[in-house]
Amino acid sequence: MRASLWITTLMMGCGSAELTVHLELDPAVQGTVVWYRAIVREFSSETPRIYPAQRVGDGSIRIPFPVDGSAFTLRIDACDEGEGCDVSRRMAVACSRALSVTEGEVQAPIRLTLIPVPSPDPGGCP
Amino acid sequence: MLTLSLLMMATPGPIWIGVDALESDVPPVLVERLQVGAAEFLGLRQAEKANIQGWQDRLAAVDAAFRQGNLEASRGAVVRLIADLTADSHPWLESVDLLADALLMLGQIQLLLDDELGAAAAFQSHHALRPQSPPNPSLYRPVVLKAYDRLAVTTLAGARRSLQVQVRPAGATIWLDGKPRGQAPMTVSALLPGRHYLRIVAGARSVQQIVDLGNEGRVIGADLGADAQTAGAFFAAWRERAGVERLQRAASASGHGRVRFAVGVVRVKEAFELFGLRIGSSGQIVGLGVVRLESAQASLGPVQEMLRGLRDGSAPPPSTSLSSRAFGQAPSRTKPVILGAIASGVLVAAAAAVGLTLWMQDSSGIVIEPGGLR
Repeated sequence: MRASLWITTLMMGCGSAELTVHLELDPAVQGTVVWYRAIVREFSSETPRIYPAQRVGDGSIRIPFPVDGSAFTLRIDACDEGEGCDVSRRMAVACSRALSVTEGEVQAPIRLTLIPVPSPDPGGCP
Repeated sequence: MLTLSLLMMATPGPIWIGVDALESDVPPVLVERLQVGAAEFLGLRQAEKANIQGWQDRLAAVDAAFRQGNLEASRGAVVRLIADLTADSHPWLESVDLLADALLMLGQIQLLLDDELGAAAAFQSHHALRPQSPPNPSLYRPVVLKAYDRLAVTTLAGARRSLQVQVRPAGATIWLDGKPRGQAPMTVSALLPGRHYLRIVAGARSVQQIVDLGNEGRVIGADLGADAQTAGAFFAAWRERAGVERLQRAASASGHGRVRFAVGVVRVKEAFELFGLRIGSSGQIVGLGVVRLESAQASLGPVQEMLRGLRDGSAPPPSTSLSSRAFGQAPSRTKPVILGAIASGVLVAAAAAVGLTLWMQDSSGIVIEPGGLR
């Protein structure tokens, strides 16, 4: 019983579920995006999971799914050249609708468009 | 004994990095309150609280003289009050609000003295500071309200200026006319021409400047110095919440062997948690505390206690659970289920191998493809 549970869990854990997010830039964004950073907020967690900033030139990154079946939103902050990318210096942001992914299912790719943040930046999603 | 005293005096104390928000939903007003309170508690500056009560009393005296018909005396008094309030060192909300009230008072006095140009200047200065707060009809006579509308609102209608603020370090908080506006670099648009009161804060450092927006916008550059730069980089690393090791690397890189301490603020529903940390000379986090504020207006007494412990080195060493809350966790690429499967024995070994192979291919997760940004 215990072994079969492990097998089942293992297979779920190693499923090939994948969601590809293509980032695009709204023409209204001034300047060059050098850094981007992913923030995943699970419902109904109060604290988002913030992943380290990545350089655009370093290509794609892969981040883990939140807990299987739970809804989440994805936010991408974008920054120009400087020290990483945090909310205090972001130039653009893209936000997804609520997403939910089941392990073992490959999701259709989505496109997120980075739009300029207003000044002053109120933080979060527009 | 004397030698010992001199040595003790020469020993540098820990350096206060500052207090800052770790998430965007922490109101800047709370951060500012904490910055001011911490700086005053730690004795980093003399309490530069403006003599608000004294200024209010002076404005009340001007009002009394004005109501008694003593126009020249009240004009002289309010002009002196405005000069004091426009000193570079007082761009706080309370003083800017008082300044706005004093400008309205000056405008109405000038109006009654038939100095329409003087009234226009005063009213326009007020309108530039507080465009959403025209004179209160219950306090000012209709002739003053009409003059304000004609001399200031109508005259400045359509005139808008922008103020671009570039600061090292990026991320410094911008206060304009006594109110927080966001983080640098930023452009504040749709400002009315006239004098504006700029304050830039990064960690424990701040600069003040009066900005005169005349016929065109302005670009302001400010450098808050190497220490502020360090604070900016430190908090940028902390905001990533990518684990204690990440933060310690940043602290080690910027610390130059100095013992330092800092406070980061996060929001938890309607309350706030303040994490205070002390960094040893090697960049290791040697002390960690937390204080909960139920609201942005809550007493800062517990914060002072925490600051005292961080400064004096009596803060407890970081526990695993508190470290996780304060610094987050590095994104783990390990799937515990695989470890469990391997441990389950021969029956599941084959399945574990298959799983491990799939995992090594790293084919599960969210793939973010930034190709469209290039």
